[in-house]
Amino acid sequence: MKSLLILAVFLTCGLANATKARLAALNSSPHLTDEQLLFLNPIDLNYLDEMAAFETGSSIASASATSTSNGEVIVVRRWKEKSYAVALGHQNEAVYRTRQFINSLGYSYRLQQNPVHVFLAGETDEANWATSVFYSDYHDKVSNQKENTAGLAVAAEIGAWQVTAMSAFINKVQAPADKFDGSGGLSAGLTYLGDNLEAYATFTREPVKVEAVGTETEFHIIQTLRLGLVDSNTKEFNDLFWGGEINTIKVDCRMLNGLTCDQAFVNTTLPVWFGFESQATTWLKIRSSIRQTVLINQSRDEVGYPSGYLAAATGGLSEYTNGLNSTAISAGLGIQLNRLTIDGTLTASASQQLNSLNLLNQVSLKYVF
Amino acid sequence: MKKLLVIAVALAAVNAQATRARVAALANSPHLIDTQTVYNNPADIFALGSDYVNLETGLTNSTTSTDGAEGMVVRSMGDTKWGLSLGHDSMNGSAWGLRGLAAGANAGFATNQQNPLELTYGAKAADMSWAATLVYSNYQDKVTTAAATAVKESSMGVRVGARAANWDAALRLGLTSTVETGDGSKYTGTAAIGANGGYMMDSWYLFANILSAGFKTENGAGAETSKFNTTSIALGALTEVKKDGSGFFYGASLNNSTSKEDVGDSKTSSMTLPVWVGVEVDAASWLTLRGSITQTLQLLNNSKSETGGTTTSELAPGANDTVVTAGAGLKFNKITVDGTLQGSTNQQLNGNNLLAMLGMTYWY
Repeated sequence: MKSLLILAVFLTCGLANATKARLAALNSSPHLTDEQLLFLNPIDLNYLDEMAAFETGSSIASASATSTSNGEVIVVRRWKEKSYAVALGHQNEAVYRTRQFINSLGYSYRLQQNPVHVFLAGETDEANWATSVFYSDYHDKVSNQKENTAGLAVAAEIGAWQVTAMSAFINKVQAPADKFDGSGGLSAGLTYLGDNLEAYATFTREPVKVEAVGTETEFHIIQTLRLGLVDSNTKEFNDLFWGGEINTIKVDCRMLNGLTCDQAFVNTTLPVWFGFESQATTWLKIRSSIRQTVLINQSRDEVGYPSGYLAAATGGLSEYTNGLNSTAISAGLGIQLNRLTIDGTLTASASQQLNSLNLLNQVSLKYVF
Repeated sequence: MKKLLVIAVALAAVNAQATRARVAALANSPHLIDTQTVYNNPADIFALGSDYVNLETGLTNSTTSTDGAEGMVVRSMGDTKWGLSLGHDSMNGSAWGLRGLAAGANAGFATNQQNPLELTYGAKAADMSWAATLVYSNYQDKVTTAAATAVKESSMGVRVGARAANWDAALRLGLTSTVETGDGSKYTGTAAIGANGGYMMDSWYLFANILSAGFKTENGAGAETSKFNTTSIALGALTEVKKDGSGFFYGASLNNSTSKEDVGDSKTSSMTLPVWVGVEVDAASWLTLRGSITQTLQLLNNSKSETGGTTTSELAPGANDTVVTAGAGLKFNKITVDGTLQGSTNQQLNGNNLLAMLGMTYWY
């Protein structure tokens, strides 16, 4: 029972369970087991402690929100050999990607309003399984504005292999002058878990449309492909890891601002990263990582997508055979007080300063039952 | 021309690219061995005791020698070690370094290395270790044609070093360093060579460093717009007294540097005698405190700049340059967190003035 062994290892090493801050400090390395990664791979629910994790943040779910700025909570419990989780406030990644992409073109569609995610996972002798659904809804009947989403994810684990599939089959926003439709987005992933090595492949395909007065004014198809490897060495509550992946994003433009277009944006990179997480004292965890693109850093933009959302997009036509500098450091702390953990990222990552004005950001609170 | 002088002096220092917080707090003293001195002598990876991951906080695009994000991982394989470094900017390939001196010819030349990558490999036999590092960066924008914007950048370099019980030596070669702007203007670094060595004699560490670097620039029409070269030599000695987990050191060096720009017919030369004193103490099992002071002795603190044969500046001796730097290192199990004390200049230690230049090292 490899899953039981993995569960035992994670529970004893104390490295399971995390927060947005932990993921940010460790560059969201795919080898991590984390309640925040449930939204990408629900199978991890089988390996989490019973816990409640609160993420600080605002309740602003307008176009100005970022992927990490909102407050949310996730509660994980076990009952009759099954694992259950409920998350309130989490902006689903597929929904966020599509809406912020179209917002970068000058629109301002709101994000999910009061989103709810529900997870269920279980283990059998042959395989582990997990599923999740998400839902959000909003309706202003006076100005006729609406927002709603619905989606489903399924995952299975057989031996050392994990497979996931997700779809945001409803992803719509009705604004006063136009409406957004990102329904039908699909993503799939395949992971192989070796002793220390994890190999993974993920693919997403997300069509994005805008319609005004019954006429289609925007139509883009966003596709991503990631192939990667991560090696991690966990010993005595300390984790050292490094990884790399080939990351390709292609955006096909079919309609832009009411005009037909037949161009594309393509960006292919080879980011590598390494980092550590260490039990500094009985009550303190320190974590940090670095990420940089090396050797392969190509992009070609025939459309002229605005800068800010798509990496390497400049707002005009562009082509790079080796792109701009991308070195970024992340660091964070976890303060452990009995069953409570306070996580945060260190603002010193960019400011280099550690003082009362530059301490922790993206703070979260986690309670383990 | 003051910037020329500052750059030349920095290029002359053995550990010009040495540890940030720790070595900054210890006056960049040449006897230090640290995760950052590996960028000067790669063989130092064997002198550090164990494998490590070193991460330095900072910006994606550095503006000084100490504010860029970078990291290095070193891992053993039998008697050999390999290392991977991301983000480390070299003096010769930085907007705040040698390339910045060409900004007068074209602002686009002041461009950092983009996504610099360094691979290190070394081996140890008996009491001698050696290592070599390959440095690489590359960037190309195929669309932009703006005159003062870099559209191409590349660099390549090699460092080799060796270290034994009582001596060390390192050689740094800058093989290529090129920048091209949207209007076809070009910056080409001439082959840069830096060499340094040290020898322990009784309790004294004797060291020497020599550096030669330069560049030439031409405009879009191919006409030469500048041609710069700098040479510097440093000879010095220092001693360290170690006792009960503390180290007290002092040293001095004789520094001579000459910089010349042919197109503008300008020249800068200097001869200085800096001295430094520093201390590093294990204040507690979890805390190390360190501090240092550097100052040029007025016995020998001369500099002179000329343009077109006319002296534009001559200081003999020069202005005050006393600098005190302090720092702290926090030791947690396998992690050390270093920072300089922000109060080094403003004399304050409080919640708003604590640590700067934060760096972390995980030893494994």
